[in-house]
Amino acid sequence: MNQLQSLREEFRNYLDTVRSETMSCENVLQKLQIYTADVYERIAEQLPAIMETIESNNDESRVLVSYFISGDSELNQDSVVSEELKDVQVKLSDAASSMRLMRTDDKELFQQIEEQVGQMSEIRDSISEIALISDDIELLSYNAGFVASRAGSSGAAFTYIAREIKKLSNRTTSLVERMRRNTEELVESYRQFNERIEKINTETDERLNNIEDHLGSIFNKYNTGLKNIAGLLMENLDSVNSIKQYVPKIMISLQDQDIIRQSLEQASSINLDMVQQLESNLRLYSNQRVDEVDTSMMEGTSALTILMSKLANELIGKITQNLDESLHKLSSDLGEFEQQLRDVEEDRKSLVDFFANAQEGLGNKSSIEMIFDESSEMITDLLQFIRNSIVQKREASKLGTLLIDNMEKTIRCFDEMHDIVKGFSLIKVASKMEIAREMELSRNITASSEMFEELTEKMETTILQVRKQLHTADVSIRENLMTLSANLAQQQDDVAALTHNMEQSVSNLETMRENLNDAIRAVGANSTELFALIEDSLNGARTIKGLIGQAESISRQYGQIISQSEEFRVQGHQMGFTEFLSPVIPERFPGFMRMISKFTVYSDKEIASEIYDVDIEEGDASGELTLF
Amino acid sequence: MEISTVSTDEYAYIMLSGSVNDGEIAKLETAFREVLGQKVRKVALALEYVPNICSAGLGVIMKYQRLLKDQHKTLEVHGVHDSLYALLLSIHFDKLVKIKKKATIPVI
Repeated sequence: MNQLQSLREEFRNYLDTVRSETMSCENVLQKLQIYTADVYERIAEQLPAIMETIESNNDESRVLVSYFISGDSELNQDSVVSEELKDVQVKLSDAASSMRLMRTDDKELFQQIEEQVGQMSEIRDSISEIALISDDIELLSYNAGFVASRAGSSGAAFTYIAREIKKLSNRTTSLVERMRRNTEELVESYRQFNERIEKINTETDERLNNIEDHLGSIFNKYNTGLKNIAGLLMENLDSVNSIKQYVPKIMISLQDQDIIRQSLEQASSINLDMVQQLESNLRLYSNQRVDEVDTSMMEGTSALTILMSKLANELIGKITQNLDESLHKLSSDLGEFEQQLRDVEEDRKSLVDFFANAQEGLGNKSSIEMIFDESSEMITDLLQFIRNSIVQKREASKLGTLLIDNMEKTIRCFDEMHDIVKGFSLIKVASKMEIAREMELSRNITASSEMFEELTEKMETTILQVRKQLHTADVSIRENLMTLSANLAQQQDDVAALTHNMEQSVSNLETMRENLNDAIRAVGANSTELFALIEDSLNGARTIKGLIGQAESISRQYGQIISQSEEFRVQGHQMGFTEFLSPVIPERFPGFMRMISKFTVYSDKEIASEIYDVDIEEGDASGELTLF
Repeated sequence: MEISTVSTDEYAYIMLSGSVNDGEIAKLETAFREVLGQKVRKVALALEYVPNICSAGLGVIMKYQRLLKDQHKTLEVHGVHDSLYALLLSIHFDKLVKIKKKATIPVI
């Protein structure tokens, strides 16, 4: 075998080895190209989706918070809780006004009753007068009895009359005592009745006087608590906006991908050219055209392989470095973005948990439940007070019955007194008849009889007058008490209706509290999907990071290709072929130079200029320069 | 916002001065982490000179209240600014964390 044949065999082995290594580089380059494009494109697609999810979560949460608590100030619209609270406030205010009106009616009635009972002092005077008359009659009866006994048998009838007068007089004394007692009891029963009603009314007045303030404080507490919760939640939702600043940074990082992709394409095109060159040489062997494989071809192929490998190696080195930096930046931005979101999320969870979930320290209630329950308790307490005051008034009004009873007893006393006066009248008639029969009786008896007549008439007049007064008072008090009773019944009905309304409102508030709790719990609840998207992007970046390690192995392979090519050239030269002394410079290969000039990434051209120490022409129309 | 910590046998104090804003949450977390590792059973937040706390700040306080509780420690507020006090009462935060409206913080 001559030297040329030996060299051709070596060349064939060299081609096989280098082709296999170049193909292996191509596989890694292809993978890197595909994965990088895939991951970067996916992140570019996911980023708007992430932002959309954040914004949509925020919008939903905002709508919930403003619907339930804060309302919409731009639309001048109140929240549902606020509207419900206003409704309750109006109802309670109405109730207070109606209580005030009823109280005014009550006052008028009590004034009238008081006036009637006040007349009892006049009646007491009349009773004293009757007592005095009765004392005079008794004295008179002693005198008449004495005169009659002195008159002997002719005064026997008068002795009997005097005894009867004495009996009636004694009855009168005892009756007057009862009348006095009854009147005292009547006044006392009114005093008690008035005192109890007054006590209830004073308490009611005190409560009604500051009821608006009280209601104001209840609803202020409600509103303040809930608005503060809304404010804190809104603030948390707003803080997401500041995180949005990471998005443009991430988008810029993603733009790197375009340049890396172009560089990868360029490196791959060099690699593919090399593969084609090597395969075309190898085909000469398989097609039995080995004679065409001359020293010039072998030298040219090995020289071009060295040039191309050097350039591809430099480009890959630069690509992996750029890709590494870009991925580092991207992962760092995405990581920071995720961390910020997680911080906000964690804060929100703490707030939402405290606001809407049962807390041990809050008696297993949420903050919202506490606010609602505390205020509902105040409303219920107010209602209970209104209801109780009516019940107490009704209880107290029963004392009015005692008043009526005492009035009736007093009237009965006067009726009885009237009967006594009738007895006196009968005695008066008997006395007149006796005087007519016994004209000769002493003038003393006549005088006593005339005085008795006068006293009896006076007593009757007084009794009739008081009886009339008492009757008028009795009718009036009865009427007033009936009106009071009717008023109280009406008040009780009104309060029952109000209670029903308020219970409905409290129940509405309870339902609202549950809805609000649910709504607050839902604030930011969709973030799992969001974090899954971010995690997917980060995983993609990690995958490329792994491929960078493989890309670094290409460099070693290109190093081997270069050294194998140089070894082959040394071998050719040692075998006596001077062609292998030709310089390995790109200018010898115009096609290669054209390929470099078409590079679209400016920095890649610079690399070529540096390693070959040549000027690279500007690219033609197909090559658009990209600054890197 | 200024923040400092000091410890006695009984309490670890976190003393704040100035409004707690979003950008200063990290400082608050650092202070909490510091006292979380100490042996004291009680941690007191001095908020007398803190007119306002942002939601993130309140979130952090709530988070560390839970973490302290998990370690059988308690969080208290010793001294609170009037405006902040109204906010905390309105949301019943005082039921979660004991608040002493006025308190003397030891100077060490």
